[in-house]
Amino acid sequence: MNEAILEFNSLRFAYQQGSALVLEDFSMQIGRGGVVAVLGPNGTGKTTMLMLALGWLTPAAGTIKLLGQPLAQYARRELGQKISLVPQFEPTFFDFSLIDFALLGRAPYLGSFSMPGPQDYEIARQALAKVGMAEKAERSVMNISGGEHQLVLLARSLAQQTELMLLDEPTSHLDIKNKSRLLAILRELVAEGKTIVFTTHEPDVAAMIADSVIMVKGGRVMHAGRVADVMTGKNLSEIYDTRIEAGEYAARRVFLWD
Amino acid sequence: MSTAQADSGPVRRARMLFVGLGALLVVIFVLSLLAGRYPSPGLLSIEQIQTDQMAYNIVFRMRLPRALLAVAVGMSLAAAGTVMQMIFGNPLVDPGFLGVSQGAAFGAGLSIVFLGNSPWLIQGSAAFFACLGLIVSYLVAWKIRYGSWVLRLILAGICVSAIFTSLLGVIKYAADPTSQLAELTFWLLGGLSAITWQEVSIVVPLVAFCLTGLLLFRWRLNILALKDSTAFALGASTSLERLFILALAVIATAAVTAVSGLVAWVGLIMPHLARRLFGADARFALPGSMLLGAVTVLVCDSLSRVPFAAEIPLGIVTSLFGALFFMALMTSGSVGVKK
Repeated sequence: MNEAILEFNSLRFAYQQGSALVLEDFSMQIGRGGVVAVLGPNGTGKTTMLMLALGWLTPAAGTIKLLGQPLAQYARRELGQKISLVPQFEPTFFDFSLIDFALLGRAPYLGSFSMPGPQDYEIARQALAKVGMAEKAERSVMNISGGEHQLVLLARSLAQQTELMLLDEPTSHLDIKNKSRLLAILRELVAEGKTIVFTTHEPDVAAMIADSVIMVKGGRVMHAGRVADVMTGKNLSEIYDTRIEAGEYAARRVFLWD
Repeated sequence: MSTAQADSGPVRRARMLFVGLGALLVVIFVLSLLAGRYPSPGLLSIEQIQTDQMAYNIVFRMRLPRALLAVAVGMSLAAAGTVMQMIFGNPLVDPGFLGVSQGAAFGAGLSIVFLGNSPWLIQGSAAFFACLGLIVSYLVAWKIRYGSWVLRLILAGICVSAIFTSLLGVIKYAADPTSQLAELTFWLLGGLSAITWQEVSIVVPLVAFCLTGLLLFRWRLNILALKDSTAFALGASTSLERLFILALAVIATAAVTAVSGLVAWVGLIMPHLARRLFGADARFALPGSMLLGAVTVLVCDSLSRVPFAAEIPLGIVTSLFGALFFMALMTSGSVGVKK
């Protein structure tokens, strides 16, 4: 494996003291570059895992390292320059224009009393262009479709210019066309040297884009490795408690379930 | 400013609006100095001010401090409203939220009925309990064990406001109906009739300090308007930054409320109007809201004192026009809110 960008060692986490553990003895290592899919059924701790990687949640036990350094040793802004999040869904209460919204990704580089400058605008415009939304830059974030909203969230994350990008179920609200568009953008980003970790409960999406996969169930890592090795019918059946068959069609892995 | 930024239509439009609103504020400020009922209803001339000592005193000792404070009230309430609506992600929040207004009302009532009826004591007590409202709301929110930080603050604010409202009810019940109750009622209706340079010398520097802090912080406010975890992922120290910005907004609100009484609706409506004119970006919406607030309170204060021989409390005028305007704004479908 390449040099690790993100490591979880024996993590234990519960949302409240004394309540049920969401993650238990959770260990994984993600190498630099490429796409890693975190696959598992609903409510298995995938989003919790991302929030721990961000530092938003703190584990009850275990350690998290980013680029070999414990997460707790990073300053807030420094962390925002290294790791970004594309949430699954983000409610929008105020009608920011798309360019102003993408510009928010520059926050980790600006002081509390600073305003975004020419360079920040340029980066935000490039981020919108990357997701194909440059022409709609002045449109309101409240007047776009769900698929476009997902792309704008990705643009904000791109404006953050982080090496590691976390995406929480990025395809869950998208139709097939937008899914395909998003996956193409992710492939471009990987080619540019980014590391992408995304959660999903769709095996097909994981197989289409990921280099490696981490299968999670009940707050534990059940299987981890290259897609071809790990995404077998047997493993998937175990994860989802449903009989799943893996096959190939037109040189792509497909999954059939009962 | 960048070429890209400077060239964009919305930024150019915002700049023109700032110039227009700034000019309007200056014109209304001057008119409010000249307008009144001495020696007869209408405008004083420059010559009258130069030659008539009474006219001079009215303009410079009564109307000027009053107009300055009206600007401070309008700017503070509108700025605090914008800040709170953004931080709480709720466009129906106003600056009195978090127990601030009800705390001030209780403080004033306590002073009028039990502590002594001097203006200084009323103002000090109102300011103290307004700040106490925020502090208690914050501490209660800290102790609530479920929900997001914003939800906890909203719940705590509702409880603290209700407690102050109940206590104010007790004070009203105990007040002497012939003197104290009337005084308290007038205070609650809000007004600037008793403003002198003394109040201005304390309130305006304090408000200027708080508003300058908010203006410097205004782009960051956009980040704090996002979901907690998203703001955190963008490098914000959410709790600390929100506390800092809320403290500035509440201190400004408490300072003006202590001398003006409850001036309703300004803090709720100006942020909506500003977002409609300038867009949601707080870089433009916050100063825009402040200018709109200043113009509105100045106009309402002039309307409260000029047309009729007996002054109408400012809070009544702002409530009347505010509610009508808000209805028009909402029915026009341009409030820009979606949940």
